[in-house]
Amino acid sequence: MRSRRAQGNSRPAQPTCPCVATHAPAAHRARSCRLPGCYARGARRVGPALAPLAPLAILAILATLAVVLSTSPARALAHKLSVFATVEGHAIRGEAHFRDGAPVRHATVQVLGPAGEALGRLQTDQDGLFRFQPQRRCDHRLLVDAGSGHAAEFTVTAAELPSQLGNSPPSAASATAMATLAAAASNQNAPRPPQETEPSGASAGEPDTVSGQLTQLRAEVARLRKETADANDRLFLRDVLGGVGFLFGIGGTAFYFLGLRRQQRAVADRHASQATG
Amino acid sequence: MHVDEAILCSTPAGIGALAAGAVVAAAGVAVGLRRLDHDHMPRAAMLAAAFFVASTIHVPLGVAKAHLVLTGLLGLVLGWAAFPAVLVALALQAVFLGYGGFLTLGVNTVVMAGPAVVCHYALRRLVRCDVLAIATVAGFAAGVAGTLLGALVLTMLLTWTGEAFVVPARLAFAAHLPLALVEGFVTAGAVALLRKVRPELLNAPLWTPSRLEISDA
Repeated sequence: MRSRRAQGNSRPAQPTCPCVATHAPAAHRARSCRLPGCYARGARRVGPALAPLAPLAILAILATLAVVLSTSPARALAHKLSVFATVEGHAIRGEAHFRDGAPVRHATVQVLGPAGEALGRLQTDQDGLFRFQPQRRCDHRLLVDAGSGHAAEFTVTAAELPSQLGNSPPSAASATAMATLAAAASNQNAPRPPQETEPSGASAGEPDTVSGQLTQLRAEVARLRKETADANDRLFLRDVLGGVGFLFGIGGTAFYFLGLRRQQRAVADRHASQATG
Repeated sequence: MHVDEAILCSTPAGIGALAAGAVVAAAGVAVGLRRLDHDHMPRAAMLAAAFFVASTIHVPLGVAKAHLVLTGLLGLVLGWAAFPAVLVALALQAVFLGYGGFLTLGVNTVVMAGPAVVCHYALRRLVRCDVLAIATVAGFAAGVAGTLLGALVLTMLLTWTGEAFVVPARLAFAAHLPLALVEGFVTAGAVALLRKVRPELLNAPLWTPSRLEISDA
């Protein structure tokens, strides 16, 4: 910027470019000066149309990065907790995990009935599994709490529970029947390591019979349902772009109306100053 | 750092916390909207979008993953306007991504925007410094402080509603320390860049390099 020479000219005083004081003149000469007040001859000013592009590009890169990082094979949202339960034999077998597959260890599971009454309280084990023995045939709401604000819910409907269970809270006789059934089931299961697809109940030892095949089929269906639930919760780029688009829309609309109000205020001020002065 | 609905809706203390959070968030949003004028609207929208996208970036920390919150940056640039920005971004996260819920919007807003305002008042003078190192360290401090304050508020909230017996409060707080470090670095880098390229976003004067080349070209 030829400020020293310009001072000797007879031209009307040009405003001194702020680049002189603050910016390296080399960049100024190279016409890469981007300061908004630059008056350098030939300096290209980055127009208002181009200015938002850089943050937009950064946002687009961040969004793509987020989707790519979170859609590695079979991995999805890590932040959300997910719980899934099925009925195997006479028990409800459930499993809680984070969206990226990590099991939820030693989390509290509350079992609530359809009216909100507490039916039981369990803890998940090392692998995130838990078992509950239903006493009656109603909707069971499983509430898993992993601490730090993470929780998830799953409902086992009454239709999935075996029909031998009564609808009312168990009397003494049926309670003993339930206890013997539960003891038989747990005796069957105790020597086996807990696995998700392991069928429980009395028919587990005979895969060739119809009931054994049915049990295996139910295990497969349970696994399919779980995979569908997991797949539905993946992070999609369209969701991220939708949210960002909404934010730009809301911000832009507010910007427009605030500008209107500023314009009206300026007009009113001008009228007021004309009226007084 | 989102609080899920299922945790707070089940106990009366939780519902009280929801109501209190809603009231505090409403007050903060009112103050923020009053201070959000025409000139600052684009930066509020941009930072809300950055907050939205950053929560989808998961940082692997040990077994679980944590997501970026960018509380420090929001506070430094927006100040009180962080409240409406965070509220809108959280609402969109609930709709599009399923994070948190609508009932816990107030509580989540307080957890994430409250520390932003604290960082704003504590570090805004330091960030305007001409010495780039000081501004960068102030940015790092903003990132760490924002995350740790948010974890503190979250832990206090969970303790007050009786959920802290599930995971000891100390552990829940300590789990946020690695995330605080990562966020400190991210905020430091962002502040260093903004201080040089867009100082007006930090309400700072143009950055004067320590060596001025005055040449008569």
